[in-house]
Amino acid sequence: MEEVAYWPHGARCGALLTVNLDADQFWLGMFPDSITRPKTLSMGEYGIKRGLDRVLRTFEEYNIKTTFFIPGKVAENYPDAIDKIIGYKHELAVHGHTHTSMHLLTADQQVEEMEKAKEALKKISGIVPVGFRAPEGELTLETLKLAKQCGFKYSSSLYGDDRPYTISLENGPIIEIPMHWELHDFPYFAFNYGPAFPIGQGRVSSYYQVTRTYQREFNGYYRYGLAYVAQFTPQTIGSPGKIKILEDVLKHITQTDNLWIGTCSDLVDAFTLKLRTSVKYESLHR
Amino acid sequence: MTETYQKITWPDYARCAVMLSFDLDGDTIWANGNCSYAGGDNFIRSTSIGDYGPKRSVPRILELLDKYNLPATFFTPAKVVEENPELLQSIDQAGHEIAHHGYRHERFVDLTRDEQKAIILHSQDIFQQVIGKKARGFRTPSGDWSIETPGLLNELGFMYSSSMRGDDRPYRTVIDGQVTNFIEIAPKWELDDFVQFGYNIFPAEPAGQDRISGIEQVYNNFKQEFNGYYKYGLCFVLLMHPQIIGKPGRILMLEHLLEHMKLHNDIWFATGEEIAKWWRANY
Repeated sequence: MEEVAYWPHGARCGALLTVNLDADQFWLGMFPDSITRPKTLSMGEYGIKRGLDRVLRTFEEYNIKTTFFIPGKVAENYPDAIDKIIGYKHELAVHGHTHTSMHLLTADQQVEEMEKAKEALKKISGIVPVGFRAPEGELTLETLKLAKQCGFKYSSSLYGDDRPYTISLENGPIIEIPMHWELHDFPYFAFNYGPAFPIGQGRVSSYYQVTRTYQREFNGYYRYGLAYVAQFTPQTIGSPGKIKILEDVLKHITQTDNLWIGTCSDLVDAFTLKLRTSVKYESLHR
Repeated sequence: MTETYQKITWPDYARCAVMLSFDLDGDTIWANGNCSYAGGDNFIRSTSIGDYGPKRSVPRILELLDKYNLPATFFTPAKVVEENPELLQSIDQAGHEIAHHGYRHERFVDLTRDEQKAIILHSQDIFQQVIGKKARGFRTPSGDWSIETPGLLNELGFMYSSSMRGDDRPYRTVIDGQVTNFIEIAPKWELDDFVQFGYNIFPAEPAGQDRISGIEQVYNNFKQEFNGYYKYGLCFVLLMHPQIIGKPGRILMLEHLLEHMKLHNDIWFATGEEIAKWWRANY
């Protein structure tokens, strides 16, 4: 039944409760003409103004340190928000510079996005980010190669597994920490009439049902000993009512024994150590 | 044709039949959708959703079926068979049926009769090479098939299809005005896990994006629908996709549903081929 065994501190299961601080860059990236639509952009601003504080306080209550994926422009435009995140000792990672889909950009433009965002986060925190999550949209293997070239140790951009794994690229390996749509708050709740999101304007999901989905999925990850990689978006989860979803999910998962919760870079360090150990093991037996 | 409230006779005095079916599409469905975008052949995010099925879900599904000693039918595009020969052999060796689902999950309604025939035969060769036998069942990939398809399948020796939506028990397909030996075992959209859970922002899936359904509400729908099939003694076809149902929380949901079904000891769990054989012999 148990499938994975490399969690830090000998834990049974790992939980990465990541945050995407897209703010208004989500809307600008997906619908560039929303630059002239203050109502649309105000949804993103809410994440900075109110949602972030609620998310930070909730994680603090459970003593959780996690990874915040942040577009470089959000860091440039809202430095005070980034300072708050640093104050709570979370990890900062890159989520594009302008939250533009990588598949729309040339290689040079992709590198520019990555470098600018790295620079913006480094300027505020003094730390060079090591993680990259491609903004919504598509990407190619070249994108990961460029991320490797820009010095990122890990990516969290794909969906193909339930544990970290290594992707071999022309210029070396990169570690992927895969995500899961059903553990992402934004697609359940985000809504706008014009520009339309979702495209077919489906109704906002039931809070109760989403809470139960996050909780029941966790039970599966715990049973099999996998990496529960969730995504939370302050503009979405940070409303007065929806923040209770995060609280109820954290309450549920922290009731289990032997669960490791941490940042993506901590996991990558543990995973890299494990890889090295297993290589040693193999060479001993050669 | 059977009457709506006619009592259907199933083997061993079973009250109803259950066909657990899995469309092992892998990345084909995503790759097909990406083709229409510039550079779409190189997209790796959406296709990674599909990769999860062969990589992680199938072993979990096989373990679950083994635990409850249940047979299943895996409708698999031949390209996925080619790319995962050992996985398909393990499905076959566990006693499950492997059936036809196109080569790369083509939309048959868009193809000529000759194009359809070439895909069917090429895929049958791959089945023969990898698992040592040809498929007896067919499920039309991606939406509809064309008017000629059932006749073609019948002519090429297929015993049944599980493609239509028009009944809650098997029936003999009428081809060119003739009632034939070609059996249809129709699934339903409301019993399709992809319809409930399949999702992607770009390229949008479903086309209107909508929302992923709650796991508990889907469980309750599936269970209530099963209860109806049981009550009326029909053929319950669950249409699942490893990449969807094999996620850690959903495989527990499926287990929960199987436990609910197993509360009854008069259910005939069967593969598509077994159901088609029974129907041919008795109806």
